[in-house]
Amino acid sequence: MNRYESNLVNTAEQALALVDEVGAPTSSSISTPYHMNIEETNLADPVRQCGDRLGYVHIGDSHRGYLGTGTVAFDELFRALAEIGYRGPLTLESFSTAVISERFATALAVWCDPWEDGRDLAGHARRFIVDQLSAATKA
Amino acid sequence: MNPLGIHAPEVDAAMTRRVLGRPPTERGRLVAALRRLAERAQRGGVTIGVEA
Repeated sequence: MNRYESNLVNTAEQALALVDEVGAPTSSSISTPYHMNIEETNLADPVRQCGDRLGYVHIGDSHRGYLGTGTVAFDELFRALAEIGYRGPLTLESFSTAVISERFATALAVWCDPWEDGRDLAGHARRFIVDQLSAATKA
Repeated sequence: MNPLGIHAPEVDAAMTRRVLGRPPTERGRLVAALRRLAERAQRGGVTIGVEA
């Protein structure tokens, strides 16, 4: 998570170290491009570093709005996911007061809504992710 | 209370310190809390993750 939300785990390397330290067989790493975009030098190396220890991937753009309309290098991310043979969940992470409470919005610093129609957002995200995965596996 | 329905105040505080206005959590306390959480999650067939 980025430096504004956590003082303990900001990079994939730190997440893996924490998973090792916990030592539980049921723990794995989660990658979120929104945070990686702030903390990592690129989006591919952390994915490669996690390899088969990557258990979950949030898909969110730099402004947490419609995928592909921000500055996240999704092609780089999906190529790396294809490279490691990732088969786990890919979950859209986006926030708007259309679907979250005011308290949660304040906690996440959602000061302006990137969207209002959650169904349209979800449909767009699904198409975007499928297209990116398809392109990455063909590359 | 987190989505697993498990009360893990150390974990919650560490990940939302800005929101809660609390000082940074000590790493040792977080690791201990995650171990307890992982043990309980395992009994429920749930894998926990560390987000980066």
